[in-house]
Amino acid sequence: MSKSYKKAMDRITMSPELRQTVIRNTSEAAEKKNSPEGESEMESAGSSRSFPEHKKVIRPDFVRRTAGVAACFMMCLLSYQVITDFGEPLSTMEPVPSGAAVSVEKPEEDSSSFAPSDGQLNGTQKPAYAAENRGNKEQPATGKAGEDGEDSAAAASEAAPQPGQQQEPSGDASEPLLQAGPGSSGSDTNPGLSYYSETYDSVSRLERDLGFSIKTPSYVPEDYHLTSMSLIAGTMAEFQYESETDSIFYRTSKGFEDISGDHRVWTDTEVTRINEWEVTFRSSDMLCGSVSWTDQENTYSILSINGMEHNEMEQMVRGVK
Amino acid sequence: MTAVNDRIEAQVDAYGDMILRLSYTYLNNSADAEDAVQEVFLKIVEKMPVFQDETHEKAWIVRTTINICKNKRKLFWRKNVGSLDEAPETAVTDQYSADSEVLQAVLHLPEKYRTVIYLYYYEEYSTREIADLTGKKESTVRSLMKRAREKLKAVLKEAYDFE
Repeated sequence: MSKSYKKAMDRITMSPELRQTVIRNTSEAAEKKNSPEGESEMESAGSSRSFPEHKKVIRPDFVRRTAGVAACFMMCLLSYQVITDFGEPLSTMEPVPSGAAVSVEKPEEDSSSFAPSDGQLNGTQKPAYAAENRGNKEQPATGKAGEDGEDSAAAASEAAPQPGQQQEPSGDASEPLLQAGPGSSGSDTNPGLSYYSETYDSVSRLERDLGFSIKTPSYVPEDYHLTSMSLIAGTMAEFQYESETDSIFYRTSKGFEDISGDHRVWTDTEVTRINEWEVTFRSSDMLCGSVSWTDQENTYSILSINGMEHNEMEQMVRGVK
Repeated sequence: MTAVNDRIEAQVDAYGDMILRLSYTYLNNSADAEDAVQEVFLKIVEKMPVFQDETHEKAWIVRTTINICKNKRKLFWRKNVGSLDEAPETAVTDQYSADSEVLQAVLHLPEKYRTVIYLYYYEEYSTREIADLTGKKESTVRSLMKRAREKLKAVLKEAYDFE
């Protein structure tokens, strides 16, 4: 305790004038408060005395800050709108084939009930055919055989494994081959043929839609069986045979261009005359990857994904009738 | 109204000096302190608080006084913002503090020290009670007391008698 401090503070007292003034003002305030209309006046008087109202001033920095935030918000809103507007058509874009559009009728019968009756697919295989939906049937087939067929086959074959020099060794041979065959379908990354192919359960119907009669292989190596018949791009017929380890694609179309779709690199290219046709054999390491030939009107090709014996390929070519 | 006036007079007599001292300690200015006294009593009339006992009443008045002084101080700074060159070097010495070296030394301290010194040494509140009244932590009040004593000791030297 500080005695001198207490003594000094004791001297601080209300003067009689101050006391009278305080009592008078307080009594008046109490009277006003007790009167009917005095309460609100008292409150307003008290508040105005203690906290006089100040005019609301809008400061420039506040305006600047608010304007900046509003501008940022508008920029974000506009950016979102622009991105949304540009993004929509890109996301819905689908590959559109070039060339003249040719409509293809869909098979009228249930493809799952197919049993070959034309006698042209006999060979050595048992046609235990179960039709597969190999593409988007809603997409109409378009384009010419010589253009789209080749382009599509090229596009499809680019993804195919290379049995020649460029092919990477694979542990499981059958798995990637079926996905990457020239007539393979259903792959989103390879929109080539899959968008324009139609499966058929009858050669006659395929011929009818194709517009000309088809020569088909009468011989197919053992263990291979027909898995699908397709009309590709409305102009090219494709027969797919599969074994446990390989797939063979036989194609025919009007024209004289190579429609094999085989863009792999082969060490040996040999031309042999078979059935009055000049047949080009492409092979590496004693395995034949593909053959192609033409007659007076049509072009033909056979492609083996993993390659097959030369004599078997030759025999298959001879069997095309 | 006589009863009301009597009560007002009784309250002014009981707490008027305390309010004036506390206001003066806080505001460091006798004129502002006298205004604060008036405002505290007007606030009592306005609020008409009901008190449990005298301790409660005194604590309420102390708290109200501190708040009113705080508001007056804010208003003062809003109205009187100037450069440091214009500011007086020392606190104003007026009728209340002219004769006392100790009081002047206390009034030269920053406000946060002055209030706790007054409440502790004059009103004899404990640090716990001061913490409740000022809205500070008790440890903060103790710390403020310690620093205030150190400052006063440095200024007053032999005249220092704060214990």
